[in-house]
Amino acid sequence: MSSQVSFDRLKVGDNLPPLTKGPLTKEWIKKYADASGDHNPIHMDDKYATAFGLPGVIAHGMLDMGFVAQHLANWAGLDGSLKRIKVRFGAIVKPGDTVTCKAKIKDKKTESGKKTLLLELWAENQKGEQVITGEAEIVF
Amino acid sequence: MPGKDTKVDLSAKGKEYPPIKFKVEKSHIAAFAQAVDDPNKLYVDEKYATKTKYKGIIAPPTYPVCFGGPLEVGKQPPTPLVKVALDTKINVGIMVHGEQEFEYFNPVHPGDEITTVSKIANVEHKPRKDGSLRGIVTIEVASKNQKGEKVIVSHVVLIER
Repeated sequence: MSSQVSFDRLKVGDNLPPLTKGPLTKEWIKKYADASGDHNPIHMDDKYATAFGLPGVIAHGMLDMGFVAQHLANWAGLDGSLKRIKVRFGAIVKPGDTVTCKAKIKDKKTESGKKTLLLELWAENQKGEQVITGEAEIVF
Repeated sequence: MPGKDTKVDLSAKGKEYPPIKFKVEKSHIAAFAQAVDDPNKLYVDEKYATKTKYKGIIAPPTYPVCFGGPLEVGKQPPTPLVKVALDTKINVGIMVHGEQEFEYFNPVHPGDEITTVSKIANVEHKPRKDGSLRGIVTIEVASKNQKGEKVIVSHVVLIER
């Protein structure tokens, strides 16, 4: 499928197929801590997390951002490139939670041959609470 | 926290920090892709990636979080990003990572040597529901590769609860 065909077939208001990750586990969060270098004890140690006012260890916001970013980048495929992504972190994500990434096309434009999609993105846990909201630009 | 006005220093805005270096390793890209559960072969399969427009393995989209140093509070000495935060007098005990933005310019390849500079882009006081003021700090992190090409510009927003 050429990029010309797929970009042209997209419409403002189209929803991307959602992507669900998880359920998260303490081991997964530790694995992300090792890969990212962020061993903040709110992600590693239940006692520390509860002293901080949390129900227990939580996932890094950046791990959740890794989910929404891959949702968009993998949907765009080799023809598209993620140009920009901006997120706000909402509800915390804990072990046992799943994260479902969603996105919708907000705008579509072609300027001097450059084709750009502006998308609204968000992610919800299994209770429908928003863990991430944001926007992104993909260039084809 | 509710009730207590922030001590965040508005005059910290504009402060810039010396460059820090990061070497991109193929095995680290793979470990990171695994940690975010991203199945895209572009990040791990050299044979596949070489046939694409990228001509080789590239890093996944949030991998640049590794360039400016982790936001790990409590480590001694403070990591570069935490040092920037501390300079604003933000209360790291009640600080959360509120927002994150990445703007992409050039892909990241194994073997790249990334040079990153950070600056305090914005410092503000905003009222909480109870009228007390919370501090909000925005750090701009700009990275380039060994060829001098811009790789990424990110904005990290730290918020006092």
